[in-house]
Amino acid sequence: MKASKKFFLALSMLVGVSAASCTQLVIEPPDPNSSTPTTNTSGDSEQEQEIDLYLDPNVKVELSLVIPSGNENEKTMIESAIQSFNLKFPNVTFKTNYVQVNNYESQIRNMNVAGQLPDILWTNSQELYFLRSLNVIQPLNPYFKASEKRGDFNFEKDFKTEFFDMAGDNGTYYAVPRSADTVVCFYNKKLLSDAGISMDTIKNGWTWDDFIALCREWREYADKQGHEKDWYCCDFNFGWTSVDYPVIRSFGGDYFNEDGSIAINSENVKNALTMMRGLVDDRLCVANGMSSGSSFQNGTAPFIFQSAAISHYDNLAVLKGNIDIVTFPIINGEQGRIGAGIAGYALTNAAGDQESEHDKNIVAYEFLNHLISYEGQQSLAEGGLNLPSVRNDLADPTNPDAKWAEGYTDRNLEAYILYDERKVADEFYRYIRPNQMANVTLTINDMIGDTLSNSPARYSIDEVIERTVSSLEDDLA
Amino acid sequence: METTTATAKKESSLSKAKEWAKGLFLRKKGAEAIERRPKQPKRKMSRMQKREEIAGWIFCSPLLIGLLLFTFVPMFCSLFWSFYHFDGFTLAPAGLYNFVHAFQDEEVGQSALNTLIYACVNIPLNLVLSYFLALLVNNAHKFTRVFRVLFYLPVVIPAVVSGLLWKDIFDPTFGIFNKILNSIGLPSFPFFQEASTSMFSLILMGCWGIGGGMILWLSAFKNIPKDLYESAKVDGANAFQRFANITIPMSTPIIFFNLVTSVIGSLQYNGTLIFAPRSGRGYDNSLYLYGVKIYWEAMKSGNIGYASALSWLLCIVISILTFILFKTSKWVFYGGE
Repeated sequence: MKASKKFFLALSMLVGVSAASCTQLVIEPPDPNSSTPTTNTSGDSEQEQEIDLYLDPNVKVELSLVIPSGNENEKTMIESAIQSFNLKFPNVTFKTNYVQVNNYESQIRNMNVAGQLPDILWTNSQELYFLRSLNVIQPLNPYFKASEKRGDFNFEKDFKTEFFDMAGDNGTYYAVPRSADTVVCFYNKKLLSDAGISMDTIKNGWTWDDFIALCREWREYADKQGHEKDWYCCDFNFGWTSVDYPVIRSFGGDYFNEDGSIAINSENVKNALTMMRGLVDDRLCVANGMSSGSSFQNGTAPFIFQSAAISHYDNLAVLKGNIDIVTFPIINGEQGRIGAGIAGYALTNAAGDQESEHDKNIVAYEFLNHLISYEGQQSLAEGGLNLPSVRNDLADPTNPDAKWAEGYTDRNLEAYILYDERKVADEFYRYIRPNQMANVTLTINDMIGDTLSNSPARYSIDEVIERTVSSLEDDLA
Repeated sequence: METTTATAKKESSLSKAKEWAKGLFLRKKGAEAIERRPKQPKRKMSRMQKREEIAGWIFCSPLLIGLLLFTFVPMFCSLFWSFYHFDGFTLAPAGLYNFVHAFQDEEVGQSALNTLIYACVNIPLNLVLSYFLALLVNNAHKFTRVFRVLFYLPVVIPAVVSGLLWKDIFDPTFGIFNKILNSIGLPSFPFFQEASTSMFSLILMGCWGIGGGMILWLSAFKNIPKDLYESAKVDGANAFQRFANITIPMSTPIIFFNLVTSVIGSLQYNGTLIFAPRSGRGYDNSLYLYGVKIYWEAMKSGNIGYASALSWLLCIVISILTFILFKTSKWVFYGGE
């Protein structure tokens, strides 16, 4: 064969392989208006299709599952849940893959391009908006309805539905929350006691003023110890929407209006940001970009706002036995909001066509169903989940059967489950497109960062708001 | 006398012309003879030769397969996607929209300007610093080898590690730089914490890798024949004259190589993603480089089609600049010339 012919043959092969890679691996999501049912809370809809949950218990299926990487706790929890699931379906196997939480969207896109989208996908409240808007995940209402029909549960009666609402939109549910996550205030009893600070005011329902009073006492103590610039009372975690968004909402502000227009340019948001800046000026909160020499995790700061399980910190040698939790301090009385969210699992469209791969699709749902069942929740707890159950019969930490509270019954675990009516997730993401999420998140982080600046050349709060509005307008253009 | 000289010149040029014509004639004849030659049947390869050829292909195949799968296929894919609205899930034809939009996107302009500033300062600075560093450690000295290792060591450290290292070094509260400044009574420097000082800090940080350029310079210096310096010394050239007339001209191929690779590397640079605030963009987008813009569009916003178009525009710019550099490389002195 002539060299030129060989060259053209090689070139055409290259083009062929490349074209296949570029186009064939792109999985077009199914038309949401055709087979995928859309329903409301009760599951009533004209388009709804009935799901047949019948399965042979010996069905042999391999399911792919994606969980967050670098999270050993999630891995042991899910392994424990798989073990108990295998008691019902012994021949179902799982192939586990991982996704980085801080690079979630990009990795999900890559998985889709590579044709590697899993059957079951870990998600949280924020990423759920991304997955939903791209029709990557299936609505679960028809499955829930089928489960109810079978007698697995009574949705309204058995579950803490407010957490399911965080995994849905207008009554259509897209994921099952594996636990109810609420931002609470962790505190280090030993550190406060050593500093001679009274903990009398630290109780569920305490106010922001109570909290700030303790922070000021800690400031005085730290200054006396010679740590004027490097010790701070609290890891506030501003910049994490589960903290800053509820604070903004507590002042009556919001990031977006319900019609999707920008809501930041308001007196309420200004008041919230002014309060945050005051914390920096009073050296209660570390300034943006500066490093704090103290942290709750290292046992040198007495408070932190977090939604983690108590075991996460109590397992650290420096904190063991010294910590407890209390509800997030209430800001502005009735208006006060508390950050909440879900981490859970969703059923992707890759789980299989409901007709041709009925078994696989149903087995994947059965696993989700198992996660929210009594046995499933208990097995997750046995695997290390120390967060409140999404089931009403297991949510109460004083319930001796609730395994999630085991080992910590002497702590104030009620802090996780109180004030459900005040809980808000980062629902403002529903007003923007998925390709705007990254820029909007960055702009909001910039707003918080500029607010928490202590640079002599920092912007005034009015300027911060003006810049944020302008940036958001660009992001949404 | 004049007539004799003129005749001799005429004869000389005539004989030269004859020789040239003869040469041309012979070459023409030779070419015709080759064309007339009956085509030889292709010699069959012996078993040994076949085996050798197969072995050759097997040895090459990892590289060829790797190139095909990890370079050519992605390149073709990105070219394909650049004509589509592609977010990883849906593919809709966009024609030339992505390319046209790149010229309307303010962020592209800003990131291109930042990249230009970075390249214009960073390239000459690194070339000059690494050159003088190489000159310093080129002389035989007791600790020369130690210094060479020390200067080259940063290049061995992975980019991610060095990025994180510099993040700590430039930390406004606990960074070693500010500790030093404070210890001599100077105020803290904001480094990446303020837009006005971010680019300076990035360029300062870029000097960390001059050890890589130093090694190339050293190899160039070693290839300069010693007798050139000795002859120059005999002719009375001083150290500066030897440097200006021997060292620099003889190391122009390495200057050229460093220049080309630095231009390409600087324009593609996106290392700020590791250490700079605001996900690598810096305050007020002061560190928003073109490479970061591509990453941001593809990985954060999911505009893979647009990011592909931006990548191809960068590829075109780099190709043009490299072409210009090669076309204007007459100043490069190759030994055989």
